[in-house]
Amino acid sequence: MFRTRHLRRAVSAAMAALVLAVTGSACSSGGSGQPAAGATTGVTITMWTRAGTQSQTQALIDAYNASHKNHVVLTVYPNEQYPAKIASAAGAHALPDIFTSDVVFAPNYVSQGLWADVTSQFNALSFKSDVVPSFIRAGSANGKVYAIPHALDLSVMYYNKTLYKKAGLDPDKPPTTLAEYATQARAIAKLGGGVYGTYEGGNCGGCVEFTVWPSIWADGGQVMNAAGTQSTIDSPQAQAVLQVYRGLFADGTMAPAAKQEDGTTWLGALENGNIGIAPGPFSWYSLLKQKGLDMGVAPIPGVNGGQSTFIGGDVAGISATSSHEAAAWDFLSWTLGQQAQVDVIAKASEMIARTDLADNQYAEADPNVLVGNQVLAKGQTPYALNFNASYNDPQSPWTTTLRGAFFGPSLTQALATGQSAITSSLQQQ
Amino acid sequence: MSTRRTDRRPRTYRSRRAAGKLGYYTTATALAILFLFPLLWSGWASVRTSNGFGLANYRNMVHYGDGIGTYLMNSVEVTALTVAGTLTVSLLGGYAFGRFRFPGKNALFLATLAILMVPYPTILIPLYVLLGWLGLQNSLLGLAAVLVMFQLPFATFLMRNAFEAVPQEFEDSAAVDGCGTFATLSRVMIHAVRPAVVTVGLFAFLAAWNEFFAALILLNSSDKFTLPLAVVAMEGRTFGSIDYPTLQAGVVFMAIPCLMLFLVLQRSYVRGFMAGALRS
Repeated sequence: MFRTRHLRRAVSAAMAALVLAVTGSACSSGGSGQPAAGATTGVTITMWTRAGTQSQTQALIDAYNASHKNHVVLTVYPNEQYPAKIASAAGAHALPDIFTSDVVFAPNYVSQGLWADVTSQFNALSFKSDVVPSFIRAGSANGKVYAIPHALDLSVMYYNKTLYKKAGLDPDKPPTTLAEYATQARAIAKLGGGVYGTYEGGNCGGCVEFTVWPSIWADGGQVMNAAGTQSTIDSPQAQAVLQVYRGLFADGTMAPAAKQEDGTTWLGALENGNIGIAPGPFSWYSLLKQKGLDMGVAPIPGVNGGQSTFIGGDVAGISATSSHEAAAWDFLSWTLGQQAQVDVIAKASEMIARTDLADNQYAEADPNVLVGNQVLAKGQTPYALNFNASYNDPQSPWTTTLRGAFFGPSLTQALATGQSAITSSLQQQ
Repeated sequence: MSTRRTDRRPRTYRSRRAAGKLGYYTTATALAILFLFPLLWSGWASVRTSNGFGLANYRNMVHYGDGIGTYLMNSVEVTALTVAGTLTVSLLGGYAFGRFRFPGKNALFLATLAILMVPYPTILIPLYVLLGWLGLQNSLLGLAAVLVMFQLPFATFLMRNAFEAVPQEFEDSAAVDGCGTFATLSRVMIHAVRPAVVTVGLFAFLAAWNEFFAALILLNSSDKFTLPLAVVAMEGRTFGSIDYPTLQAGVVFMAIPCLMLFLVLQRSYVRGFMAGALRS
């Protein structure tokens, strides 16, 4: 494991370097807003995605293929190696017609010119202003749109109603402030017998940014400047939020495994039904329901109230080298339409990509889904060119910072040193 | 047979021998458990379902993506091509290096080993571009060609040692019987180096069967995917919701052919490693 991880990192670094070298000439060709090329019907469109969002992509493709003359063919790659695959294919000019990307990588691909400019096509959509704005921003550069939302996920609070009743808490009153969250978690932890108050990915940069940053945003704070070049993690808001979590780790309200949780057994901890309340991705909702757990969903609050969410997931764009641009756009624009959003995505209890469709028939049938849909409009998607190395990577300065903030001798010092370390990482390009 | 003989030996000898045997079996068992545990655990996890035990995970695995049959056929094709290619080239190459004197022999051998001198994933992109020029991108033949190349240093090295260890008399008597160079190889020498052939073949098999990274980079559409690619993709969902059971079913499915082949070829395999190690 250790060795492969190193190997993988060495490889991705080598590939990134190569791609930058090899794609130099291809970069600018797709970005000039040429008229859409190729036929729009009867075309076979190739598409790549990662395993993480495969089920949703496949559902969309099946519905599209059944009702259109074009035929979309999907190839799925393992999550971890997907960026390496994109990089190598880009270097060899062998990208498919459409490829998706984790939204945090999108600014990078946009800057490398891997996606074609779809600004005029996107602006022609009647519902363009209702498409999750933070995602459009991640897929845009210099006022031009290159990628659109494809499969969304956002962070929410899950609370176990069965445990709430056992602990004498009202299962219809989830916390509205982070302080209440801590109080309720502590009340549950008192149950004992293998039951813990809460859970978190204590050794997972991606998990913590996904679930803890929303509290900072809800309090009006920011973790970075808008350009994504300057960390502002050493703020009073971040300090107050992290202090709450630090306390939960310190007094054992947090399940012991949370301290080393690197994300791989995060869902499993909640599925066991022994955790009172914990933040997590909305995409788990249907899985938790399948386990027979009586889970409530609530927005992630700030220390003083308010609510926010981290909107993550995938964007999709048309390769700059595609020769089926028009047909590819026909598919992509259809995926954002009401039929695809409601009858395919909402029906599968997945997160929709349009704020105007929050009150659809499937959300009305399940109040938990409605909570997720409604918080969508209040969410953020952080933007930074060097996001992965600064935050998600296990060796990232953010991971060091959060370890220090949760478990180190001093929270203030961890944030102060973390801020400068993250900033210098963000500025490396 | 041996028990009757040991019965006649003195008691202390017998008990010492028994103790030795006990030690041997304890150590061997411990080592076997150590090495087998991950595989056994996979097997156990693959038949566990949310309500007890069953084959539901295997059903998920079989129907994953394009269906396990497609991936299996692709894997078989790549593996067969790789083994055949590796054996052909290393047998001829090893024979030349081991039995002939020609100018630039050592330099050429060093060039063969040069493939070992860079971490192979770093040259995959150049190779990918190269395959594009040859029209072999996204083809199983192209993947097999690359895998053969990666196998060659070790395979040629092993075959060279094996050929060098064959006594000169074999070749001389073949020549007396009227064999040319090629007939000497195909009628006489190949039998003398059979353990090495099996070893090289088995190594090429395992490498091609399990190869993940080269397949990831060189293959572009899921109808061409090999088993390792499909199995690794089975794990994935967002944020820690990993589908372990299906993944484990895939792992077990992939391991079975390797285990069977190893059991069948075990004897030659061990002898192959000794080839060239001891010389008269």
